[in-house]
Amino acid sequence: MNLVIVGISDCRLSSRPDDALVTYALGSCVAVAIHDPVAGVGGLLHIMLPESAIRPEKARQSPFMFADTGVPLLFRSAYQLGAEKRRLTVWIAGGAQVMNDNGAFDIGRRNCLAIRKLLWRAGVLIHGEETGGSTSRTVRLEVGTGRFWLRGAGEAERELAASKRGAAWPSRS
Amino acid sequence: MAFAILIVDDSPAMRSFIRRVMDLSGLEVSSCLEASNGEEALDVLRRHWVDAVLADINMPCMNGEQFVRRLGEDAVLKSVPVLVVSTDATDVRIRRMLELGVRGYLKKPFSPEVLREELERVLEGSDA
Amino acid sequence: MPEGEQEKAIAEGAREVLETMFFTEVLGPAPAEAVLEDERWVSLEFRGSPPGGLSVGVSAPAARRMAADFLGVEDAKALSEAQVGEVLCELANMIGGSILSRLESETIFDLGRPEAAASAPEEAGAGVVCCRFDLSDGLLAVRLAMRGG
Repeated sequence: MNLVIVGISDCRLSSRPDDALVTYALGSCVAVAIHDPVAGVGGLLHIMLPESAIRPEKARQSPFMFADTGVPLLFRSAYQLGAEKRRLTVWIAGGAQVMNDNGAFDIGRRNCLAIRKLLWRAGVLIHGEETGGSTSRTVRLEVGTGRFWLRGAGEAERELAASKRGAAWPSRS
Repeated sequence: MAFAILIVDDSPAMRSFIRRVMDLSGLEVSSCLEASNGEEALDVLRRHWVDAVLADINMPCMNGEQFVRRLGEDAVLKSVPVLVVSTDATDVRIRRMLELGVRGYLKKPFSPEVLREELERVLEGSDA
Repeated sequence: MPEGEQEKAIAEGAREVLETMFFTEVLGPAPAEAVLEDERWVSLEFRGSPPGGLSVGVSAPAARRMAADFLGVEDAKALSEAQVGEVLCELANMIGGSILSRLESETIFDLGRPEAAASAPEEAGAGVVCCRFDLSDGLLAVRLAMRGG
């Protein structure tokens, strides 16, 4: 399997069955993964912040840094490779509350909120999710099989099957 | 197989939200009927067969609990699966509704994905 | 009821509803000097142990934006006033249910039909708790009046 690394504020797509898209160290950042099993197209986005309005110039240079610029671009790029919205499986992962995060801002939570809103507005439901908590995560999407794998810090890798939820919040109990 | 669903809620906004989730869910929904209270819902069910009912509790004229009781008294309608979708998350109400035989109890607020999962679960059960 | 329990239920209930179905972050309690301007109010009565009333107020621009977010509509301006009103009624319904489920979990309560209120309710009074929250584009106010108990 050919590993294609997706960095922070980065996005990669592939239609090569041997490729696996991987991104590391998702703390408060959130990864959005999409896969069309018919077109054989997969995409993985790693965003850092929810909204680009605070830094429009930065968003022009680095659209994948922000959820509101990165998510639409991820989907449009997938459509250009032959993917269709109604066939897409969608996963989100990350959005942890990291130790050095200012609790008052809670960027991880805000990132997840922003992505949920964008997907709902775009008419896309999430099929697999693991967000919140306090652990850093690494995720991997196999383009050929459409399988999505996740590993928390210090844990073994496991598959996040579609239509299964592993959300650690929104309950703040 | 395409499903017929009845949404019973006095809030037009909530009925819109639920309809949108069904449209996006990938489930084959042949018809999506609506009623704004239990009495209207019974009237719809006298004229149309449905595969599942999503019912709120707090509604005027006939609330969700009264509606489910009436379904249970009907030889044909008692087999229609009901998924409660309500803001009422008290232990007492949940117990009462489960004792009346509802197939699920979804507390508002809920994400679109949780609604889709519950709907799939209830419809899969009805298909068995 | 222990002091602060109603405020806690209001804060938790409001946050849960706004984040889950309106994709809206509650930034925190609004500063004391913040004024709810150009607001829309919805009120409902409830029967329970004890009974009472709930009012929810939202700054008008935030109300329209939240209605669009709830319905999954890109352009908030495309919504009619009636549609925004319907969504606000459901917002009040859900906040009411979320609060009462926390405060009265072992009893049955019945929420009445939410209705648009012509003006803001009076804030003060025995047994009345009013909380205001900062949203990114306005304020949310929740007024809970439990009678007796």
